Amino acid sequence: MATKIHPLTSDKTTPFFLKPALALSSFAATAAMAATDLPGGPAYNQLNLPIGVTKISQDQSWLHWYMLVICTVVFIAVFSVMFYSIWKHRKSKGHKAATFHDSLTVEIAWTLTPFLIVIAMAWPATKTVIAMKDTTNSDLTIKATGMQWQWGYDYIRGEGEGIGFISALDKEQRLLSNQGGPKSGMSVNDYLLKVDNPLVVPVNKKVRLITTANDVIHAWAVQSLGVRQDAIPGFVRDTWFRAEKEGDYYGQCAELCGKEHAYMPIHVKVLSQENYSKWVLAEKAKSAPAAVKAEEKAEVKPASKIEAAAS
Amino acid sequence: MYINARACFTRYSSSHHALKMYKSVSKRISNTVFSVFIALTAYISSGNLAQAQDIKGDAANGKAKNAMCIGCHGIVGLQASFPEIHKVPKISGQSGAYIVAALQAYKNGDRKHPTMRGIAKSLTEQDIHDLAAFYTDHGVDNRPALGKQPNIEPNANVEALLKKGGCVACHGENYAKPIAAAYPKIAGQHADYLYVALKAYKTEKNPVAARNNPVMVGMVKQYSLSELKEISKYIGSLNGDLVTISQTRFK
Repeated sequence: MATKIHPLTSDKTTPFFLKPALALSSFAATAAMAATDLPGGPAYNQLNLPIGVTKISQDQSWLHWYMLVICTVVFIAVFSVMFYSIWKHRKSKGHKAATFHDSLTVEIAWTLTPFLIVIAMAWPATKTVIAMKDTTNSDLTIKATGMQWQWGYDYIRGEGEGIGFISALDKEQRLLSNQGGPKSGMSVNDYLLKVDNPLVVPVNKKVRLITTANDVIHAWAVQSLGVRQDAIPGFVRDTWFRAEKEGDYYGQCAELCGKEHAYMPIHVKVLSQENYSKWVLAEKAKSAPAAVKAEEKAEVKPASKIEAAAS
Repeated sequence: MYINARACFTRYSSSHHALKMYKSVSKRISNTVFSVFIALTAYISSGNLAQAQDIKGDAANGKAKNAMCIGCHGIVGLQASFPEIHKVPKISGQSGAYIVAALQAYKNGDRKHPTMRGIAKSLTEQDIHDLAAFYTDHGVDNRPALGKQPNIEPNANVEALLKKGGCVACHGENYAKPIAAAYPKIAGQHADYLYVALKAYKTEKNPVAARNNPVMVGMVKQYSLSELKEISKYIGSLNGDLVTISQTRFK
């Protein structure tokens, strides 16, 4: 990618009052050069919700459009009636106000219609909210602890139990931000989203996420997973997701939590079951090599027993 | 039966007396032992320091790495809510070796504080030394020179408490010139933070809010919490080297 510098910003003859605007436009131009879509994260020029990789996030996208359509229809209907009435019955035309009183039909209509609309909106929304809150029968339980300004992950139950680490923004990117962000020509797709230790989970498994915090309220939010849950100090809240596609998904702390709030990204790495098991073994070998070997042996034994029983 | 009980009582009372005698003697001995212990710890920690000085801190690098520090320690009057509400300690002007020691203690769990642990764990030894080098000299030009004596005399009660612990023996002249670099300057530190810190040394078996530095744990044992509060109030009211410096709004 060639670097494109706005010809006017470097021009010394540009009037001073035009410089900020030109600098801004050149900044936008260079930003446009550098940025491309980040799969699982923000897309270039993204305006809408992403269509995620969990049932919940797909439901959310659908609800979002559904509500928008209803709102638009109601808006157009109400405003067209209103403007028509204002226009058609304006004073200059000499219209006299109607004098009817107590129309039962009208009253039933304007009570029933909003009621039905609200039900039509609330029914599917409530269904999704109830599904979001159903954290039972999870395959894996992970605790996410928000702290100023990093995320701590502890694998509490399921495969990988006992693993725990802290996930912080890549230090180079933090420094880059101090220096004013990526320079023109730099291609940093995961700018301020790259972490040292991503949260690793298996694909197609129900992951229950318990959120809490050490100091102030944070929020764990990953759009592609359809999850956003406050992490509150002294409380635990839970949520869940079941990623249906392998890949990397990105999010950020979504509750203003202090100076470095913008610098506590979330990176969820969804692996195949096989690769996840490999990751778990590697991670356990890092912390306690002896214990893992013992566990491996213990795991081998029952398997051979089953084989023996089968034969 | 009666005689037996009587004998028991006598035995008990005499042993009680002996215990008292033993306690008063042992207190004197233990005081001596304790000061030797302190001196020894100071010696050892200065030895540690010599080792640690293999890693040279660079203040300029530290300045580039302190984004997370500023978030709390660089906001004047900011209060933290854990484990109870207190002002975030002043670290600008603190002794560098102490900052290193404190961060290492957070890292290895000698000091339990979940957020500081998280931060310390994500720092390398080099980062820790760079940050320490930066904060030692931070705001050094604006510091008023300290006199030989504390600028406020303690009242009789506090004076007795301070004497009992011999705080000045380690934290040094004015409570701002510690005898070993790895000990903190405490004069002028926020009183409510000092209290929280002292209380943490008294706290046992709390997985998230305790400190286990053996010298300080021994020290705070002799005080009640209200006495610790008195001490904190006095030391917090003194002039010292410590300050909180806001980040400049301009780059």
